[in-house]
Amino acid sequence: MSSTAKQPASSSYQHVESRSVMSQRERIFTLTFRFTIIGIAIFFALYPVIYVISAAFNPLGTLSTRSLIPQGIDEFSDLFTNFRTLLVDEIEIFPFWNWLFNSILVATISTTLSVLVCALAAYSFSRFRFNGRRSLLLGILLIQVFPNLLSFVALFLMLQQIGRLADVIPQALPFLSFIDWGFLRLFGLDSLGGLILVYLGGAMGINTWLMKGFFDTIPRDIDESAMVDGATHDQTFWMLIFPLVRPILAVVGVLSFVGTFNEFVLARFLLRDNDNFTLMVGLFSFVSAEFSQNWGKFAAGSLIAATPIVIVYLLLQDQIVGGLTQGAVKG
Amino acid sequence: MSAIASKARPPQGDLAFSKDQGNIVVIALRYLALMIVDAFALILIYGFLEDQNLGLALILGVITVGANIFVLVPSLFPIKWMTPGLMLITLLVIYPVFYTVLTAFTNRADGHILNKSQVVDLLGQQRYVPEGAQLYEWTLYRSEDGTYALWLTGDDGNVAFAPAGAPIIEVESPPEEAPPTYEGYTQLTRAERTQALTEIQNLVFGEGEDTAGIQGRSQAARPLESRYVYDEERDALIDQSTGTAYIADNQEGLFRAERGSEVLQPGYQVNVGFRNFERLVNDPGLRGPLLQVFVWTVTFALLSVLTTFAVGLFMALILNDNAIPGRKIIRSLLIIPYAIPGVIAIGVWRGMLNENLGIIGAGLGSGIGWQTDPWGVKFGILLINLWLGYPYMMLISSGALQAIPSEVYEAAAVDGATPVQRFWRITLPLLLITMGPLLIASFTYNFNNFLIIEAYNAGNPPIPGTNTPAGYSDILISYTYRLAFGAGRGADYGYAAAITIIIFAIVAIITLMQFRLTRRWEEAGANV
Amino acid sequence: MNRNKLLLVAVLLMVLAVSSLAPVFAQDDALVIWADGRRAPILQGLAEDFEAEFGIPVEIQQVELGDVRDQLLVAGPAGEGPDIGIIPHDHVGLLVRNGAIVPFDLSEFEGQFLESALALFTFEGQVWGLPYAQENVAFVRNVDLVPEAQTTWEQVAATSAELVESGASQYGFVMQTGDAYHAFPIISAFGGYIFGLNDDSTFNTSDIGWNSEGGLAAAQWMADMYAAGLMTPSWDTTALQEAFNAGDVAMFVTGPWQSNALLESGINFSIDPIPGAEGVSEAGSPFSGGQGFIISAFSDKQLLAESFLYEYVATDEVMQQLFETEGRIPAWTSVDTSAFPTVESFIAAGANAIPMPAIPEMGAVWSAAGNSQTLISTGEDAAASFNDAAEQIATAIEGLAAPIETVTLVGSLQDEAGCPAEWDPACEVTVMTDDGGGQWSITVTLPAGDYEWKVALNGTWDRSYPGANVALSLTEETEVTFRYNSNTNGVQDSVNNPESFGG
Repeated sequence: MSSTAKQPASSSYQHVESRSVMSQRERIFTLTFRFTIIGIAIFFALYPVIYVISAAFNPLGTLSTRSLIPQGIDEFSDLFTNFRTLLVDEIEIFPFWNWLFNSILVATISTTLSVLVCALAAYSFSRFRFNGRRSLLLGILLIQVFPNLLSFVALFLMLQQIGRLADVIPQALPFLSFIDWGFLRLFGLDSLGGLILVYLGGAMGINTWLMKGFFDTIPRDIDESAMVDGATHDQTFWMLIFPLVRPILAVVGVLSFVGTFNEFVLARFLLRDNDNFTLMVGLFSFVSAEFSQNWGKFAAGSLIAATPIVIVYLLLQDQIVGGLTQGAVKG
Repeated sequence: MSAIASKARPPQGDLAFSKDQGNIVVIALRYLALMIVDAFALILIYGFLEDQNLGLALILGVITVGANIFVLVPSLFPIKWMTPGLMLITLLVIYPVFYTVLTAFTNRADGHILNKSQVVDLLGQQRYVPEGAQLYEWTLYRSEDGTYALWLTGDDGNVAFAPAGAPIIEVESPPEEAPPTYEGYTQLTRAERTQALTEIQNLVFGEGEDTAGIQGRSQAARPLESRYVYDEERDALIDQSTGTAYIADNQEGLFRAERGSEVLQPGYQVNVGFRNFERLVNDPGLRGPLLQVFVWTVTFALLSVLTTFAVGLFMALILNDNAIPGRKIIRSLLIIPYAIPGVIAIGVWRGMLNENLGIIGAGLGSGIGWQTDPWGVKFGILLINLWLGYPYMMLISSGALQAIPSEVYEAAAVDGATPVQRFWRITLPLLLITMGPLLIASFTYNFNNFLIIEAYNAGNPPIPGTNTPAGYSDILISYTYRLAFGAGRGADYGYAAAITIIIFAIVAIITLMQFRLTRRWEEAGANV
Repeated sequence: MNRNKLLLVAVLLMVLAVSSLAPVFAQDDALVIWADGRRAPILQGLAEDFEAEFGIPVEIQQVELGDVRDQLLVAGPAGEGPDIGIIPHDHVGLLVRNGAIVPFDLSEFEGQFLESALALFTFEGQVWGLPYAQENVAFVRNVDLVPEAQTTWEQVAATSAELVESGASQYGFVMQTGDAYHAFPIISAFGGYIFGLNDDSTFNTSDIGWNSEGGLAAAQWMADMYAAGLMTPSWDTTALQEAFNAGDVAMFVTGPWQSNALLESGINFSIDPIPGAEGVSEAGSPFSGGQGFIISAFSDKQLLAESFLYEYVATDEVMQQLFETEGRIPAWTSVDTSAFPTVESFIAAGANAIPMPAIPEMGAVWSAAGNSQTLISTGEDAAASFNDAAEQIATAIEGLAAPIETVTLVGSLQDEAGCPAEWDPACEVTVMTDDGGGQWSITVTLPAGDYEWKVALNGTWDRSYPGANVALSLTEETEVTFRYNSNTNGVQDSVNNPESFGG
């Protein structure tokens, strides 16, 4: 996977081009043109990020865009004031590593489950024709665009109820008390399990659509020939389709990982205890006070937080662009 | 490539199911699993009912029954694949929507947050010192068997001893200080006392007509009585201190004095029918710059999608070429804006576009009025949204590009199509199959993208001469929520929910219109 | 297939990982406190002391000041709320209206709390919070650029013009754009206000002073500054502080929360009282605000919460710590303020501060008032902008106040007048006649007796006037005329006010 040149699908475009009549000069021109564009794009993408980095090293905690060089630095170690406060001085009060661990845990689990569940639904939408299919498809997308301002109240009460069942069930049904119903609290209020549950509903409609669109582009010949060979739907899905759609699974994976990792509106409402916070909830508390925002700590935390996201992307990038469609068609 | 007209095909269900049935062990396991899940769901439903939460019990019931039907009825087997997804959507998306819809028909707002029984309970906790009652300082005692008692010292020097649930004893010629023990009760230490506070705060000391209660950290009153008592027959709260009856007005959700208009705080939540919708129709805000706001909302959402998609796709295409070295690194760099939390990113952009200090606002791009000119602000918002959104589109485009079979290009090359022609004729239409719904979703997301509007410029600059505060960069949701939350009556959730439903109706109509387009895309796709 | 199994195993492992992460649950007997990130560490220390002394666990949960109000109303009734919370004072009004907090009796702390801080937490005659900090803005000046204290805004304008002309700095005085809170001291200096006061010193929300004579004068002052190019739009406090640090802005208005930034700026600065206006006032009044602890009405440990606050928080040591986190003005009089040399100056600037109204109607003010100031900054007409804002505020507050269709005389005299019931706003017998010009009246013959009455609009209790019932005593059968004026919402009757009836 490491060498991109071996990937037939991504090279197809290029492959075609090289066959057309194109002088060496033209090629150089095209490449220069592309690199100029790439240069501009990278500048556009990264310039604002430089300010975030600058803020992270600015001991005054302001989000200054006046100068890139952090102010208030008397000696070298001042550069790391925010990092030091975040990771050393206040670690007892604001358990940064706990937050980071919680975020990674929540994002990983909800992403994995969400990708699986969406893939199953997308397969069905793509491969089966049944009554109400289109309405159902439309329905799950439409319901997701409901501007749900009050959902946090409903979700709060729901998780609270689930957590309460841990006490209610053993009381109401004493003969069942041989089971430790306390595990329900793992999905109650102020729990990461509950948060994962809530995130699972999050972008399911859109992700299903996205996958379904991708599944549609995979020729039906593939599964039909497998079915003729006597494979069940389950086998076809897991052994043939699943590997084929890896790019889109990776895309959806990255999207939901980033989405859940950076989510804080719901999490802020559902999590209470400092130790249970996700990273964004924890960091956001540094800037949510009206007159005393500490952007320095926020920026420093964001930079550390961006690392897992970039790592996840790097890991999945080969999956995303290393398409296997070519091989699949041959198979 | 052969064209497969999928719609012409008969459903393949029977075939598949008969294959599944082949393995008895699998089937047995499946039923066993289903039984376990059902049993578990039933227990939870019972628990919810026991806790008087009808809504959750109902929704869980629907989910369970649905799951059983999908799994057990052979002809529904396609839906079986979606069961987990549908269960999650029902519980986590539909249920909250349902809740919002219900709220739209209530008067839930500041002052009407609780339900009636909660208000009765809350007011029932209030106590008062009736006229002629005696005030004391109290010291806490406890007997061996855990009964509490108060040593009461009055202002006028009279002292009484009040055990819980037994007659109050007048202490004749009392000692200066409360004694360590009295009548089998022992005085508690400060720590013991503090631990007991929660237990004793509502305890009635004394017996029958002669009782005392704790009114505060140091003060006790004899007697101390409940201020409001609920009279079920009259559906009223009676204020014991004045005798006034506050009759429940179940239309308005208030307890209103029998004589006059005085009401008790708080009020409670009641069903008000379509009142919130009527209010919306009559809201002066709707006579304001609504059309202007609506046009900008649609433009904003549309342009956001177009620009992010165009740039994202363009970058994905450029980077799809093997001849570019270091593509992996470049892609990772370009994805970074997506990894930076939006809150700080918008903050940085705000700073950069600031007309007094910003590198762009006061430097290269000065004179555009990034935060003061109606057009400049809109342009700024689109620029920021482009920065925030193109990595998302680039990611998806990169994935979707892989799905286009290379044979298609080869065929086109044989036909002698130029790269530009190939893009418009092949790449884009094929890409739209995958990405069409996503673009629509992105449109609807931006249609309600409250965060960027508020965080960038809070809807400013203001439109002069309106009857409700409104800004040139306000979108529908930021403008209308101000009607519900900034109207000087606190937060009005019922009204906000009604607004939400109307906005949903608008978005849904637009979405459905757009779907007519994707239907065409999908049909085209099925014929590849 | 193997890969899928691996995946499943991975998922299972992750689920196990979650389960192993035994989350921290609030124990039922724990005292729960909602505090923001800055206060939480201090309270955490207290919590440990409290638990060590009494064996009662105290749990600190992190909820930001501004979020406590809304979250308390969701979590409280569900039994998940805190026992104690920290709020800004202007949330008191709505919390009381929701029945969500309980009143305090702070009489035992006679003299230990600033009177002004207690006043902020007083609503409808009772104190609803235990204050720890107070704040107000002041006028900050770069002493090197502007050596003289500024006494009027006219002088500020002149000084600014000099500074800009001489090129000593880019700007003289600059104000935050579209920010009614920071603009208020200028408005008040010229005699403007937000809401007028009733006789009982509650706010009269139908008297909007944003476009009063003083308000308009302040608007004109701002317009002149912008027109002369002395001020520009798009400034917020952060940007002003930055420009102040660089010597580009010589004067601005800010509060104690900028103390650290000012002290570290390296600028030779002075914190002065707000300038006044020539012939109108000596000094402008900033708004004063406060922060304090509340006890939830949904708590089942109110007495314990009270003990915690009174015995552990209202102490010199804790109040000192709370002060030192941010340098806001301490509400506890014996705090040593030497850690922040700026505090005394802010206190002096707040000598004539006006408590920021804690009434819900303020929600209608901020955006309308702020917008009007933004409009001036972009060159719109000063008077028109402020008049529009006042109009918007009035519209929002009156809201849907439907036009008056009927006015009904209601009270204990209704059955004597022929109604089926007393105090019945829907009774048609006592509907007043419209005399035009906003005057409504009815004449009724009543037997001797003591009565109470008022008027209700449109047949419901939604709006009724006056606030308290009017008493009416008749010693013999009398023909009484009742009047209501819809312009002033005033009422009169021919017995209590014979002078108005030509008697």
